[in-house]
Amino acid sequence: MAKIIVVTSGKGGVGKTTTSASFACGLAKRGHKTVVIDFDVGLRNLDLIMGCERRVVYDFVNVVHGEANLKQALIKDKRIENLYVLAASQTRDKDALTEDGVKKVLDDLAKDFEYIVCDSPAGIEKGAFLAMNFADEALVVTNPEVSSVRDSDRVLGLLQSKTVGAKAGQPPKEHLVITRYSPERVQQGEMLSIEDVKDILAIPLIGVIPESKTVLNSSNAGTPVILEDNADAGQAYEDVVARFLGEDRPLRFVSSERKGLLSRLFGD
Amino acid sequence: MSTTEARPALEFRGRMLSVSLLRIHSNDLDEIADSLRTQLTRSALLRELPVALDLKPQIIDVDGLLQVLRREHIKVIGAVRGAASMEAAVRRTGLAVIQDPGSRGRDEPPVESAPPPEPAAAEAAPAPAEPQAAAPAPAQGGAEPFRVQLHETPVRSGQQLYIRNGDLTLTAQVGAGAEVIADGNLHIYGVLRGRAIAGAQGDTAARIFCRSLQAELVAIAGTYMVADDIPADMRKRAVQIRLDKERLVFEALD
Ligand SMILES: Nc1ncnc2c1ncn2[C@@H]1O[C@H](COP(=O)(O)OP(=O)(O)OP(=O)(O)O)[C@@H](O)[C@H]1O
Ligand SMILES: [Mg+2]
Repeated sequence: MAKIIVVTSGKGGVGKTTTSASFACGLAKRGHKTVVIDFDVGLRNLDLIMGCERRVVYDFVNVVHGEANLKQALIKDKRIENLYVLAASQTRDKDALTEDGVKKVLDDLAKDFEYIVCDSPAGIEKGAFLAMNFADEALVVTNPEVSSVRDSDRVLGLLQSKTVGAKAGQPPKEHLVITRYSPERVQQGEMLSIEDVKDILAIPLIGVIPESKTVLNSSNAGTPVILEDNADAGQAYEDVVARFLGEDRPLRFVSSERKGLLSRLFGD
Repeated sequence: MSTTEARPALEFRGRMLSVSLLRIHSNDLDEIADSLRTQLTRSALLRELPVALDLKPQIIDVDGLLQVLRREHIKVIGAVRGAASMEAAVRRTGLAVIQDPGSRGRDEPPVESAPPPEPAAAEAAPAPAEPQAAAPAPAQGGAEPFRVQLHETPVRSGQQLYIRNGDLTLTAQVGAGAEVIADGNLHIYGVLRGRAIAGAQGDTAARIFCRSLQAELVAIAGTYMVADDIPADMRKRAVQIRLDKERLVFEALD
């Protein structure tokens, strides 16, 4: 049985697409056949972060509307076996997706894939709702600041009450991903701590991704950060995937010990 | 279908009418009266206009408001469904509570930070079908049996939980921006960060019990207090809140 995982947040710009890309890569790297879908119609950028933007012919909306079949629209990753991308359309408007259409595409993908990762748009409107509606599990992405946590709380409410699973008495299983975490700023009281966020949202934590310049650079280069060697953020995503698959791993990169001489010389 | 039969003396019709919505952003009656007068002098057409009220404040003196509106000859036919805390108050005045299909979420900003008023009657909302408008008599309480409702999952931001004619026992938290309401008492064993409204139908004996008081607003039988006014020494403590002669009284439980 395929598992559908939504990556969602409520608030925009917190790292959903970054997380979707690395998470899907991580699953595929471990041999699981995985597809990652961009639900952010009109603002596509998953394909940029995945580095396949120049190979998009047909997109998710085309498939939903029957203008192309899945075979034509799925873009196979060049680096990793078992990894596929379904891009969003830049030209359509937000209403191009329908509940029935999305369901049919997910049903078709479920025949072929082990994991279906849905990169949600920001907000709590239709697009975000369609991305979460059929999910079995949810990665709720939050930055350690009040407005982001508040929006995530709101999204958790929707996951628990409005999704197909919730209505059938089986709401999606929730995991908390804290991104752009900066221990220094927590210490200076400029950010909420991990404990604060966990306390407010009251769902299990699956990972903490540190604030890292490598993320922007690798996004610009079209390489999901999990594929960068020696990047803190990439290793933290590696841990998220491992925990998702049932491994027990201690949290890393969450305390603000001084950087060693070597890492100061060579950067992180 | 026969057209020869005599027409009955009355008939319910499902036709939709449209009425204007009068959105109330403040609970300060003087401010409302002022604003109303200014807008009426700008456009006399607004007078005599049938309107449905859209009450944004969680707490407002509905009787007083109706008096203000009547003085200016505004014809109020009902109120669209809003905060559950207001519903009982609206029904008591004999107004119909109307389901507004166009209404968005119910998470309204706190009273103090309500957005600036828009021009009145700027939006037309579809009125309910006529049978609905002929709403049942206001619930007088006591008809339904009193109940105690147990709820075990968090009430999240934007969600509202209303226990009509009963008590709520909540074993999880109330998120900031969430709202729990009961006609009876509230027992909250998780952290209370949102709003808690007990005695929603006016029961002044209702109480709020919570394990960690960090509420945005608490209210009992219409008497409310916002976070800024809640005694600072009660914050994050187990607290009982009751009403004593129109005043909220806070008592630490630990
Ligand atoms: N761990 C991190 N460290 C530093 N920057 C990060 C990190 N994670 C994400 N970013 C940056 O934050 C920005 C937003 O990231 P991303 O596009 O993944 O967010 P999003 O939630 O998908 O946004 P949207 O809501 O617009 O879809 C990007 O510039 C990205 O490079
Ligand atoms: Mg995105």
